[in-house]
Amino acid sequence: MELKPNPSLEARDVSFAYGAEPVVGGISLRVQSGEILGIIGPNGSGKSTLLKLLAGMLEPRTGSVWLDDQILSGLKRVEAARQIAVVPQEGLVPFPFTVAEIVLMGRAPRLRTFALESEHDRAVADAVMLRLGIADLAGRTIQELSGGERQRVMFARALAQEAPILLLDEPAAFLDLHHQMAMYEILSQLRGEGRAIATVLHDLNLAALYCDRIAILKNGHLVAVGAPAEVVSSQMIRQVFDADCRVDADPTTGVPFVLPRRG
Amino acid sequence: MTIRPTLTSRRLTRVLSVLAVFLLLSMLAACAIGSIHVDVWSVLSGRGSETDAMILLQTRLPRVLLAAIVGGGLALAGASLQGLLGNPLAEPHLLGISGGAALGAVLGVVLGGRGWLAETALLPAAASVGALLSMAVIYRLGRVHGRLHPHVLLLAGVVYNAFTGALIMCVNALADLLQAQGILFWLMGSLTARSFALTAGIFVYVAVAAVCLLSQAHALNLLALGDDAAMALGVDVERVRRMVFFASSLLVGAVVSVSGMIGFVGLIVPHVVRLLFGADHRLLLPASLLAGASFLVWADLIARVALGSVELPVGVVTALCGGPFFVYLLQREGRRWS
Repeated sequence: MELKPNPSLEARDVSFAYGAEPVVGGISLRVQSGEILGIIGPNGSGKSTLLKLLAGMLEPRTGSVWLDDQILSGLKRVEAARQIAVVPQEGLVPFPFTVAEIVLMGRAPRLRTFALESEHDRAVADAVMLRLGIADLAGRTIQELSGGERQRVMFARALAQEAPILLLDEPAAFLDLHHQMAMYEILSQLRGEGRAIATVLHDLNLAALYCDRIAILKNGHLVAVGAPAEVVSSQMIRQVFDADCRVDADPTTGVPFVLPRRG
Repeated sequence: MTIRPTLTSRRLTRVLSVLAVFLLLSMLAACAIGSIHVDVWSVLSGRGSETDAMILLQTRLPRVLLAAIVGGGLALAGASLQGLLGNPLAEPHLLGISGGAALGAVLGVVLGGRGWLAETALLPAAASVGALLSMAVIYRLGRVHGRLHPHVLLLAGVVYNAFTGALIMCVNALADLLQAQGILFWLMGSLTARSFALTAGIFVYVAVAAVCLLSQAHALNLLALGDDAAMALGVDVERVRRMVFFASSLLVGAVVSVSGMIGFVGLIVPHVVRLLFGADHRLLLPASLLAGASFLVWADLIARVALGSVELPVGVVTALCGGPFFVYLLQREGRRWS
């Protein structure tokens, strides 16, 4: 697959409000080719909203989002979808689509009205399913699967989109530890292929382990952004999450890890 | 475990051809069978008796054609609405959309009469407006915290149905006797012989709406993943929603204006088609159209011949099949929602 070289997505001073309730206030943040940006913060801190703004699914009240050198809101939805793939938080699928059918839906931005998927589209979908270890589920309906399996299917669908930029909202929420790490390993590979990746996540240890940079949100504002070793600290966790933790560094790798303590 | 191949043009053509052939055979059978047997082959090859030709051309054929158009339209509208609302229990009749259309048509009759122009233009338009209005109301009512709630949606439909039913009765009470008889026709649902011209007029409405709906088939697939995911795949969700709302209103309006309220076709047919051929709307929508046409042709045939000399309203036949079917679906789907 040919990726556009060095894709980047940048929020410049974006704000958003649902009605009169401000959710995101004046955030500037950039995610670029070859990095995984982790977005963390307490519940209701505006992480998902920020991700939707970056994806162009919400229109910022002020500020703008830039896809390379174009304003995202100036693009047609389908043009944006060829550049940006999104794994939203999971919703239930009301109809018995098969796994293969759902993964093929990732090809939608490249299909014309009334057209069916080509042999190439099928090959891409098959390769993605193989890569994520769900090839044996291909003929099953989505409604027969467990929460974790469904999540991997939605991830596969986004990968089949072959977009240079990948945005994920808690992609590993329903996965066990093995599958969580497997998913982040794949994200690492994709980063190595030059994609720009931003993901919302809750697990601070996995964030420190896999993300190149971490952005920390509180009450809709960006509190800190930087390499894990710079931003993950016991002070930050107390200030942002109101939780008591000890933060140490892995003696072999130097990656910070977080150990919760009872007060 | 389900194993079903993904959609290819070969599979699409094969399934649709089989359904089209079945529809054709069903229509031939329905033309032949009835209180008087008609030898369709002889008439078609020009060797039939004059009575046979007259029955075929003036009674049977218009009726069978109308049944196919109405049945196909209702099944397609049902499948599209289910896709749009993400609710396998959605159906024009249950949601009160047919009721709204019938109310529109009834008001059209009272105000505009039943001339040819009224029947081909005014009534379908009035019924479509009625359908669109009811769709807007139940859509508004069915949203809880910005999300469509499946149970609330169905309840809103039930209430709206009762309400439009009452309004129709009210118009009925105020109308003169001659009009009142015509109005009852909408409540029962009937396909009794209509002119070819009217049937052709309705066919045009249904064809236009069908093309609009079929063009949204793949978008409906993506909508099943949720609004957010669909948007991220390049779907202009609001545009699709408007298109499907308007096209299915036009479809239901046109169909109801000529046949009255015939329930459950839009529920039974898409569901069985989905079980047989899968959920992909690019196959589901056209297959429902063809299967719905066959279904109503057979339902109308049963309505004509089941009780010998007495003819049942076709709406009675579809409701007798559809009621128990709905109960079965409700139990299955209810388990998933709880």
